[in-house]
Amino acid sequence: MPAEPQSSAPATAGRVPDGPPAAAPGEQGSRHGDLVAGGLFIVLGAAFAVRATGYGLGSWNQMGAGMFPFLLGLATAGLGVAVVLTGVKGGESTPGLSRLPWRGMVCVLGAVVFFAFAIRGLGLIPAAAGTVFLSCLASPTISLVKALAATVGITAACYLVFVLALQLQLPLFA
Amino acid sequence: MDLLSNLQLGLSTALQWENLIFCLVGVALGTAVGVLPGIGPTATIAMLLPITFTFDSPTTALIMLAGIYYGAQYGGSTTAILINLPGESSSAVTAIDGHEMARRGRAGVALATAAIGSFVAGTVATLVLAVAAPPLAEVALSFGAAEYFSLVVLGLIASIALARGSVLKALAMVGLGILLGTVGQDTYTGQPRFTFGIPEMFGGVSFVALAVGVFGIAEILRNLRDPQTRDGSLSTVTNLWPARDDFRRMRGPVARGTGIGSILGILPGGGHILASFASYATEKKISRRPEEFGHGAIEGVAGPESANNAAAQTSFIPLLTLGIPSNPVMALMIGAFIIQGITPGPNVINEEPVLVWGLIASMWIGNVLLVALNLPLIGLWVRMLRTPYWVLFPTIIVLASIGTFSVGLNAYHVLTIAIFGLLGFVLIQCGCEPAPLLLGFVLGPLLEDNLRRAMIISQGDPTTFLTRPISASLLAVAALALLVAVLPAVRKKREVVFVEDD
Repeated sequence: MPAEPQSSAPATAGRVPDGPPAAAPGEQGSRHGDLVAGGLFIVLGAAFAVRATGYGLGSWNQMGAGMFPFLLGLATAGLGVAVVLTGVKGGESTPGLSRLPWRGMVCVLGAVVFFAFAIRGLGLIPAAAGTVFLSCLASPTISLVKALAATVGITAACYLVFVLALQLQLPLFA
Repeated sequence: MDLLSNLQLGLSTALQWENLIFCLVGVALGTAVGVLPGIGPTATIAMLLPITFTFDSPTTALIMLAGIYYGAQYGGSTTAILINLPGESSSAVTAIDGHEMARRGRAGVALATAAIGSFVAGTVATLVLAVAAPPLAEVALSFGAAEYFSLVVLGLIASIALARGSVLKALAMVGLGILLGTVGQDTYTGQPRFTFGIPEMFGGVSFVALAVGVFGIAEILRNLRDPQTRDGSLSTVTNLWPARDDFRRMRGPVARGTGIGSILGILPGGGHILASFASYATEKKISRRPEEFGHGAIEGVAGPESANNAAAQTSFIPLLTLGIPSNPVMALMIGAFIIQGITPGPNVINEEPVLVWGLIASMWIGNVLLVALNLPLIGLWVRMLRTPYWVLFPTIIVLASIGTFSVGLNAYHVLTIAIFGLLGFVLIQCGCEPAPLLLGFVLGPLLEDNLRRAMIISQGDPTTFLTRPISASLLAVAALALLVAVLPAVRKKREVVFVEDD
């Protein structure tokens, strides 16, 4: 038996999931993405290039530690300028920094940072539980009960996988 | 016969019970992440890399990681067919006709076609790999520093030329990746670079943290921004076995798809994605019933599925013979080699025959396991599709954190996940692809090392790259690839290839 014919396929149907995101339908695609990306390349490339000069450039037949990153930093910054220029002339329409998922960003990144600090100070179990709970909060629709249930369940699963099955030697509680 | 004794060695290695079990674990995990939209093989392999560190034998570790990769190609098609949502980018094409078949009550046949096509393609491509690898490695052994430098340049450029999106941004991402790869102690002078004086940074940016950040965390943030609708258009699966007519119609597409995939898989960049698109276009063009495409043509499932699976296997060729990864997953495999203390390159095939041939043979065994795992157990995978996202992504985050920490017991590595997750998310939203960044990061040290060595050998004469014939031809091909990628005519075609066919 055929499943009930669904004429409204999901909006994302056929979209390649890890391709460059296109502006969602109904959302005015914006062109500031090129400026942001280009700017990042310029800043990061220049930072690497400037810092690299301190490591000694050396000569062509005996390159110093700084030469390779110096040249590449310049190249990356140069490409950044080119990206900015294409952005000024029109460029690609990308979501850019519009509609940033602030709640998700704070919770997800916060969860990872929490783990980094808690793993030494608190031990594996509290670090894992806190990380799961914080990341659960990233979802705007989740209820507190569900978040707590997920925390208990996933932390227990981590214990089973990493401690019991893989014998990872980490202090459970510090 | 050399080939036979090699394959025999491989089979006896792959059939050891430990390797067999981890091959099964790998393909099962691969199918799972392929089925689940929102988590791909790249992030999964990155998270599991640390775990493989605890394995006794590098062969077992690589067999499992490879299984995740080609298993994900299988699983991706299941999601594509059943809910019209490609679990994997390479199965986006399968969704077109596969989901149409499902809506006409032929979900079972579509799934079986995908599995049979993949199996045939996987088997043939594994043989291609076994035949092509040794001679290529032989050639690569004669390479000096200049040739290696040019080869890496070619690999990086080609991966851009074949990928989607802006060439400029992709080049800048490669540059950024290479720069990140220079962080840490300089191998020549021992000088720490870009470490901010933090001793934990002397070992460099953690490869696992970078991969998890730009492929895992960034992807989660994107899903939180644009929640994927997964409404209940789940088709019921009945009647798996294709009719005799179906078999007749899938023969040609499977054969052609295997050929296209085997060739394109070797090329750097999104070989397997390109392969499935190319196969679909070919089948549509030569079909006597082109009007059926888009309305449930079995050829539209058989061809692309064979092509992407064949490409997944042959993409191991550059990795095993040259030590050059052709896509981010292969870059992670390089990481796995390094964690296990093996330097990837043309020597691997001679110095680690058990590893190389065991890995190749395991791919064939893995394909058998996949058919067994996917067709009878299809109901299990369908049920997995109902896993709510609010369970999935906290699990990914905590697994990634624990996994990354456990490699070096270094909390800085966990912090870098957050940094690269944020940076990756912003760059992806601005139209930059993460794959060139990761390739640049992995190949960067190789590029720098060979550049410096070649310059010492040539006593500071940069024309050495152009006067040595092999090096010069490699650079010429790289320049040509770059030129072709920016030509307006080709650019337009490239867009077409990657744009969904209506």
